[in-house]
Amino acid sequence: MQANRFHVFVLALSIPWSGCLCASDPGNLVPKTVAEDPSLPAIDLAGTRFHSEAFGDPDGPVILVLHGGPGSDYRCLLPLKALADDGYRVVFWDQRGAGLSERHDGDTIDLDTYLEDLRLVIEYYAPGRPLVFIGKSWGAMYATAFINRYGDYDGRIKGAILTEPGAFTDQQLRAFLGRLQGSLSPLDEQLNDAFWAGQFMSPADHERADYQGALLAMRGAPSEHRDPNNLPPMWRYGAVVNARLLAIAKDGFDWTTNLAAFPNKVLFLRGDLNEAATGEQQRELAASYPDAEIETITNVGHEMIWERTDDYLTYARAYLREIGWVP
Amino acid sequence: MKTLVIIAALFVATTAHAQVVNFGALDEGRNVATATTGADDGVVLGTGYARVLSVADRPIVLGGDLTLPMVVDADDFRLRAGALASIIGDGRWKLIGGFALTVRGTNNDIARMIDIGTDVAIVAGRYARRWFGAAELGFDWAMTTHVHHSDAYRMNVFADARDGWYGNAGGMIRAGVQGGISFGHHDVILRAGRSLDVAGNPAMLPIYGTLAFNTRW
Repeated sequence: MQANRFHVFVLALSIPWSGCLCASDPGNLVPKTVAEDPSLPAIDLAGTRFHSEAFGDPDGPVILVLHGGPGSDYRCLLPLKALADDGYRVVFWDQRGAGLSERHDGDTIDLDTYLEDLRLVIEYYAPGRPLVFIGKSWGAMYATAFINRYGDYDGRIKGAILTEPGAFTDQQLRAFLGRLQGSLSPLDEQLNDAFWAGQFMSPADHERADYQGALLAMRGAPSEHRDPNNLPPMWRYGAVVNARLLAIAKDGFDWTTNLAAFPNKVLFLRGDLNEAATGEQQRELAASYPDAEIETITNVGHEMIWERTDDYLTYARAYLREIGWVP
Repeated sequence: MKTLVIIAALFVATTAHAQVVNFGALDEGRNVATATTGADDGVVLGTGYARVLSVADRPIVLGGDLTLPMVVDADDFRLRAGALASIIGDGRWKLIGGFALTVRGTNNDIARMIDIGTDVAIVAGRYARRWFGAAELGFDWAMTTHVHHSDAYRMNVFADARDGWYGNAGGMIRAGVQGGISFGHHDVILRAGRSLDVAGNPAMLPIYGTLAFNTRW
C-alpha cells in the first residue's frame, strides 16, 4: 500500500513534465538557424555556415550590407533590396553567431575572426571586384574596423554608407553606451519586464539567451526613438555573440588609427531623434575619415532604414551617384 | 508514510526567498506580518504573513508572500508559500533551511507567462534576541513555465513560436547575506547578494537587495 502511494506521488510529480516543450529544442522559442534548417539560404565559409542571400544582377556593382547588433540580423535591412531594382548586386548576410547564421560559443569569437569572415564574404560574392559597404549601427562600426585594417582593400572598397555607428574607439563606446543604456530605467516597464522575465526562462543555453535578448532588442533603448507602432523585424538576437563582442570591445580598441589613409568619400546617415547617436557624436566619428559627409533625416530615430526607407534610399542613391558607383 | 515524512522533512529542511525572520526573537509573537521593498528580480514591493509553529520543540515558520514589481503591471506577480525551520542549532548559531512553492506571472512584449516553481535555501548565522546576521545560498527553480506568445513577437520575430508548457525552463542561484535588528515586536531586515543564472552567468539583474519590516504579535 505504501509502495502504491509512493508510485502515485511520483506519477503526480511527473504529470507537469509529460508533454512539456523543451526550451532548448530548435524552432520552439526562436527560429531555427541554417545549421538546423537546410531550406534557409546559406553559404559555407570560414568553418561556419552563414545565413546569406544576394539580390539583383550578379554582374551589377556590389553593395554589401552589414547589419547591427552585434548579434542582430539583416531582416530589418531588407528594404535595401530596392537597390537591386536599380541594377546593383545587393548582398545580405547574418554575421557569425548572429541572426539565422550558425551559433558559436563566445570563446570562439574574436575581432580577427570577424574581420576574416567579412573578407571571405567579400571574396565569395565579389571575387576580385570592387564594392561599397552599407553598414547600420554595429555594422557601420564593423565596416570601419575592416577599413582600418585593410584600407581600401587594394582599391576595391569604393565607399561606405555608415548609418549611426556607435563608436570607433572604446572611449567613444563607453560614452555611447552610457547614453544608450542610461535611457533604460529600472522603474520603467521595459527594463523591469526584462528583469522579471528571468525568473520564467533563464538563459541556460543559446536558445533561451537569444529569447531573453529578444525581449530588450525588440523595442530597443528609449534613446533610439523607435516607432512603437512600426517595430523593426528581426529573426534572432544572437545574445552570446553580442555579449562576447561587447566584452572584447570594452577591453579596449581603436579603429581610427589608419582611417586617415582611406581615399574615398564616406557618407554618415543619422536620424535627428536619436539621443544615443547624437549629431555631435556622429561629427566626432566622421572626423576620423579624411572625406566624410553627414546627412540627417528628420523626425526619425535609429531605425531610419525600416521606418523611412524612401528618404534613406534618396540619400544613399545620391551618394552612390556622387562617388560614381552606378550600374 | 515513511516516504511522506521524508518529503515533509525535505520541505522544512531547506529559508524561502522572501520570508526572513529573526529566529532568535520568535518568542515575541507567533504571527509575523512583513512588508518588503527593494531589488529582487526587478524593483519590487512585497507583503507576507507567517505563523510560527512548534513541532517536536523546534520552531517551524509557515508562511506566504505576494511580491509585485513597483512598475504597475497587473500581470506581473509572484506568490509563494513555504516553510522555514532550524535544522541545526539550539543556541544562537543556527543552520536554517527553507522551501517554498512559487506561482508567478508576467506579460511582456514577447509573451504572457505563468510559472510554477520551487525555491530552496540554506541560511547559516547567529541569531540573538536583538539582532541576527547570516549568509544565505538559494536556488529558485522555474520548474515549468507556460508561454503564450504575443502577436508582436509573432509578427516581428518568430511567427511559428510554440505556445505551451516548457519544462525545466530555468532557475536563479543566489548567494548573499542577511541581517537585521529586532525591537519590541518588530524587525528591520536587510538582504543583499548576487544572482546568477543556472549557467553560472550573472543574471540580467545581477544583484538583489531588499529591506523588510516585520511586525510580530
